[in-house]
Amino acid sequence: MKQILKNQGNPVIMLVIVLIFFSCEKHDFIDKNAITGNVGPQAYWEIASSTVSAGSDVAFDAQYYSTVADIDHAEVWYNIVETEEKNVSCTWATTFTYSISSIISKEQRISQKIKEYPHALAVWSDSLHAYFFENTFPVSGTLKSFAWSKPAAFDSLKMETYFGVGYMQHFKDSLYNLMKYADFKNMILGLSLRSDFKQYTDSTLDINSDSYVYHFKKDINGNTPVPTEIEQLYNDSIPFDKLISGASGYNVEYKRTYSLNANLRVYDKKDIYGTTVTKKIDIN
Amino acid sequence: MKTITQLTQYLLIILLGYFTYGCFDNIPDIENLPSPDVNFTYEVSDDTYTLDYYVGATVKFQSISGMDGDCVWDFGDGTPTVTGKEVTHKYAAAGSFSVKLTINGLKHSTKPIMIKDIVPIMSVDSVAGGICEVLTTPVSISVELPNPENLAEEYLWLFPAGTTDEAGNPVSTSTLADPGKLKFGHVGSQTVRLQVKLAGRSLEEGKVNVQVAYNQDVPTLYYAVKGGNIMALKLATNKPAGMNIYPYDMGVSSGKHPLNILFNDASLYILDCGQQFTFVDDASGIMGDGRIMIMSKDGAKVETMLSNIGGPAFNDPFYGYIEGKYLYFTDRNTGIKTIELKDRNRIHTPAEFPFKVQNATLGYYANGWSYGAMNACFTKVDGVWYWCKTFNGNGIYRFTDGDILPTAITGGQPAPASGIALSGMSPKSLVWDSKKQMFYFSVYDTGYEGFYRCRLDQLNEIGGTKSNLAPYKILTTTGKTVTPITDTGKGEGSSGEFIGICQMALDEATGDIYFGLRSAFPNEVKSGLMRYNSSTNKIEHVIEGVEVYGVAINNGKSKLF
Repeated sequence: MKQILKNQGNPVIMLVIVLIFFSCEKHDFIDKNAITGNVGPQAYWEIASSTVSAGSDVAFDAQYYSTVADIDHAEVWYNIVETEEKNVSCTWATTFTYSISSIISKEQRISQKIKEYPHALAVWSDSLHAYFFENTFPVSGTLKSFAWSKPAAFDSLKMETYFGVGYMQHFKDSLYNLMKYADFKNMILGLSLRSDFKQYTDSTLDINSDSYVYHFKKDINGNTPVPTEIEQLYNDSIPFDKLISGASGYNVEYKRTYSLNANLRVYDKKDIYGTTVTKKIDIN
Repeated sequence: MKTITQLTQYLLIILLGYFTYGCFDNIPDIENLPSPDVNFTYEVSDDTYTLDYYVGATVKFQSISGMDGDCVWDFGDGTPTVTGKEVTHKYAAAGSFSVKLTINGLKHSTKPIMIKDIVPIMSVDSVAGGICEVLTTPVSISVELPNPENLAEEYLWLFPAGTTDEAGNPVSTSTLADPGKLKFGHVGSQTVRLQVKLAGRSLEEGKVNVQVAYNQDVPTLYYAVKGGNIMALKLATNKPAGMNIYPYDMGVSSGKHPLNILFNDASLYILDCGQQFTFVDDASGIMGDGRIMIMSKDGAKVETMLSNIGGPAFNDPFYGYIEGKYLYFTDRNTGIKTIELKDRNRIHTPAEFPFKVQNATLGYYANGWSYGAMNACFTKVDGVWYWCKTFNGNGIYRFTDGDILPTAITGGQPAPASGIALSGMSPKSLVWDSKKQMFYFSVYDTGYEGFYRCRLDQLNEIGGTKSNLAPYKILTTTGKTVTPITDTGKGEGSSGEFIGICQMALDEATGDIYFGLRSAFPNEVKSGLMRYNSSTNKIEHVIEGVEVYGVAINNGKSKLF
């Protein structure tokens, strides 16, 4: 009995038992829990640069082999992703920073075959133990990046094109809801819409800081609402472009760039393919 | 005992028999997965311009759905739906559209497609000698204008100022399809524009940059523009009258926050600390998006050296220094690591990139700085490291490699003998001119903001007293201080980690120092690319209005790059 117990701890016996369980179909836990597909060629590639100019070619080198079937050909596939970066800010506000920014990336073209490369036995590399070739794939010249940044002249048509219809009014309304006395004063005097602001100004002594706090005049409830005249001035006399004007052009930035996610597929004669890792390439 | 041994042998034989007969070939079945119920592909089916998806191109849509039935296509451009397993469609206008395939009115799939307007694709033909030299080298520009319908073409070329034809006659416009060979009178990216009408319809304007070289070998300054590209500028000191030196657009994105760029050999190393470079609650350690990119000096090639995308945000690469075969780089507020210059496509993990030195492996810990002391620029002077800190122990902390402790401490160790310079101040950037034995640095402490120049002994004399800085402050040609933005919300960054003057670069030939300034007082000194002119001892604008992060100089002299 002692010997049996000893044998139970024998790693050889344990291994045999494990092998039996895993080699039998009815105990093949792996087969039950995984879907097994065809074995495609093994492929690896490197690209020469992770940035490419629109209209240029991307150079790459690739290695591949198959232990299952003869190689047939290779293909480069990629999709196109567009990234839009937008930023608009108003520098008239002094009590806070008003800036709306967004960066949105979305796929604009699905992944599709871009170029095909025939296979040749001659590209076998003894040192790599794989087929090896160098080649390029093209990128459309239409995918140049585009920027409209801090323009010296405002163009409302471009604003609507790049930011959407209604954006300017939304920006203006949102800003109004955040502005305080000091912001209105800075904006209205800065835009020379009034020569002085005294008629809208009242003050309260802050005993903590022993200084006066300036604000709009109080109503009968003690609140300090924006005077009707100021509200009308804001709505009627300050167009959107005045809100975003700055010392070095208008504070609006729009940038559109493209990138591609590429991989190389290597097909065998049974039309089964193996694929490389995906490479992200920025397009300028 | 014998019986037990026999029993064991029988058991093994039984198991072997079970193994042999109870099991059979365990090569798993290959399963062919069905296609999704609704799925489709598309491609341009014309013979030419298959990559471009031009307006008017024939696009073939093909259902590869697992589900059978009527395929109804909505091309997303307001045209009527079409039925069929394989259909074609021509878009009449450029834009992004959603294509929807519905089968039997039950299930559908939607995919994007982007259609582009025809645009003239321009390229600069290769020139003898490889570079287009200012005033000298004639170049021609090729245009590819897709025109499958053979419509009438009208051309209007717009040339930059200083352009001449091959004979030297000034030209500003041309209406020819081929304007012939051109020469350029100014250095830098000279943008040639082309406006084309097809059958009277104006197309999007085409542009091409001709990289015009200087006519003498001079160093090249690189700078990273906010929201833009890496730019380059020839540092010519005696350019002929009438010739302007404009920057080159290298066509390589600066990234999000390239606080430091470093030039070495024939490459520019861009340290981009990503979108979020100030404090963020990244408890899961997945918000990193920084990386180190390597751009060849002519911008033709860009490679990834190190990526922290998906790693902890604070592990993004912020500041750097190159010595020998290593690039030293900091994270946000812990320490300095190294990577070999030859490395490519590395992932930033603590295991693969341990700290060379960190806050807790110097005797300054709890003895000058404390946990999370914020990193800024660093360099090496005569074998001593100078490491700027701007929060939780401010100053320039000096140490030698021998001062680095083998294990992390929590205090109680003596500070390195090299000591702290500018203790309690917020030095953001620094550079050492070994030829002139001069030390340059910037600080952004309120009331003392500016650019300073002193000898090393004078640096020690300043000590930790801010008022001692005054004799070393360098002013602009108009007598103003260069003051970076340090109001939270006004510029980028926050307390302890404002962008400030985030890097300085030395022109070894002249002793001039270059840096980017985001001015707090644009009415006094405009933001831009700045130069400390060593011959006048004043700061002057090189380019006004541009927002610059890192700067670096290729001190090797060349006409182009």
